[in-house]
Amino acid sequence: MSADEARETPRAGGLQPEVSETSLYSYLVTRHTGRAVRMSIREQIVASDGPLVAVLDFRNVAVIDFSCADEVVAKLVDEIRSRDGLEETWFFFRGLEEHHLDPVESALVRRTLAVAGESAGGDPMLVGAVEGDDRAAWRTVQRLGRAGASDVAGEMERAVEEVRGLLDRLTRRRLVMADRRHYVSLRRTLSDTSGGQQPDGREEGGP
Amino acid sequence: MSRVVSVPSVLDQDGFEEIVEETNRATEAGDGRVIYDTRRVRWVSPYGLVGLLAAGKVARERTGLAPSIERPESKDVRSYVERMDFWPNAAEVFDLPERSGRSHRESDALLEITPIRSHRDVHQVVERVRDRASAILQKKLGHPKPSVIQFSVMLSEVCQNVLEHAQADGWVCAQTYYWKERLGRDVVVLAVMDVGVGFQGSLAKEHARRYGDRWSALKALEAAFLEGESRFHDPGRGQGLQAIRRQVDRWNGEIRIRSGDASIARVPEWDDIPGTEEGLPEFPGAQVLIVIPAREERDGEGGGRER
Repeated sequence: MSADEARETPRAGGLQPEVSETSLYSYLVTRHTGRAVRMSIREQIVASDGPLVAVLDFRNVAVIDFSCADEVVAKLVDEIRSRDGLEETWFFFRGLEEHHLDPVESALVRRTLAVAGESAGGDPMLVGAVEGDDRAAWRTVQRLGRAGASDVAGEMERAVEEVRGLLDRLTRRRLVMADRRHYVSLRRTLSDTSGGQQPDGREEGGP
Repeated sequence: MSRVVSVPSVLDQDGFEEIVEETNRATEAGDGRVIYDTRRVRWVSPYGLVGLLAAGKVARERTGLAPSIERPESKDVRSYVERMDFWPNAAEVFDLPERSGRSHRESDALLEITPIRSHRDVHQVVERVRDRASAILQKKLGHPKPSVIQFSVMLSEVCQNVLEHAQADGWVCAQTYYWKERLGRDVVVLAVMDVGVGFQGSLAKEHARRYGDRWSALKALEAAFLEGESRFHDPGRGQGLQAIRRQVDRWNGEIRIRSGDASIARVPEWDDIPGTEEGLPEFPGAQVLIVIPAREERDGEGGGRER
């Protein structure tokens, strides 16, 4: 069991976490730049009081290299997840494009981390080191938005206890939120926080 | 007493090996000014040009005297050397009779010789090549649009390698050519060099013990290039070089890294350089050559990925 898994499962029930948005620079190159950006975002997160979803917006990032991705993405996520008192901080990446993925994913995989997010087109994405079954469970929660273990198990056609194990692991890795008996996607939480808007600005539901 | 290093008429990778050997010989005694005689140079590559700067710098460090340089006689070579901004960079290495400013001539280079001293230089290089890389990689070499970003990322990583591992300054430059005989296609040639601690020096503290007597420049290159090892105890380190190798592979390009007395390369089917070499003339730092060929119709663009 990793240090991450040993912690209490964070619960989003009625939490209504604060949302902190950071629009990243156009040229995210060099470890030096990455370090400066990481420290600035970390300060914002540490200064927040209570549950927080930290949204990193990649829509303006023209270039991100591997060294900078390691600093801005992987080290930041690693530091926040292993820091006491920040157990109720979740990350969400917005506006990811194909050219961001290689550096961002490589950096996360090397530290066996993963982060939930969405593409520039608004499609949900899970970036980093995630096993196939966990990924399938995560996709199901994305589709349902908010669901109990039995609902997810039904969708996946798997045993409830087995699926609950997958969902609890996703929760401990802060890829979904737990709300009492339900599991909630970060997109859904962001949508609820912004008054029914999807994270990419679209209305939820509809035809 | 002065000692002359005779620069060969073709100053490319092989020509660089010759000036390394001659520089080692000329600086053996550790005193006396070295003179680089480039008068008979008829053709020079980006690798050869930055190699000349690197050799001059080594001679300067070993003798404590700025070496002299005899300028090339060929009009074409003089013009190219000037367009590549060789002289402003040479002024910090060689003892030049007159001060040389930056060339104001129109340059067809992808990137003129640029010193790498800090992260700011890397930013500048990446932003500077953006438009030219787009014109050359997309329009001339036929690569898809993302290749321009991938090239910027590769450029950034290879330049940072100088800052992070060499613990010394370096230079970068890039040029496009038509490689008629070897490939029959246009290529981008990128050269990055430093005269710092080299791969063996950079990795020694963390990795030498594991190899024992077998520890060498080649083992260090293999550890970094093939296994992604770094001198840092950090899983996030060492991925830059791995990323460069993967990207060159996707482009069916070539990368060769020379360090100490060894070299390692990713050799495409269109070339026949050795994959590894040992016993080369000893030279400090690392010298990187990357060749990106024009895209052939059969080359894939790489599919998307499922999330």
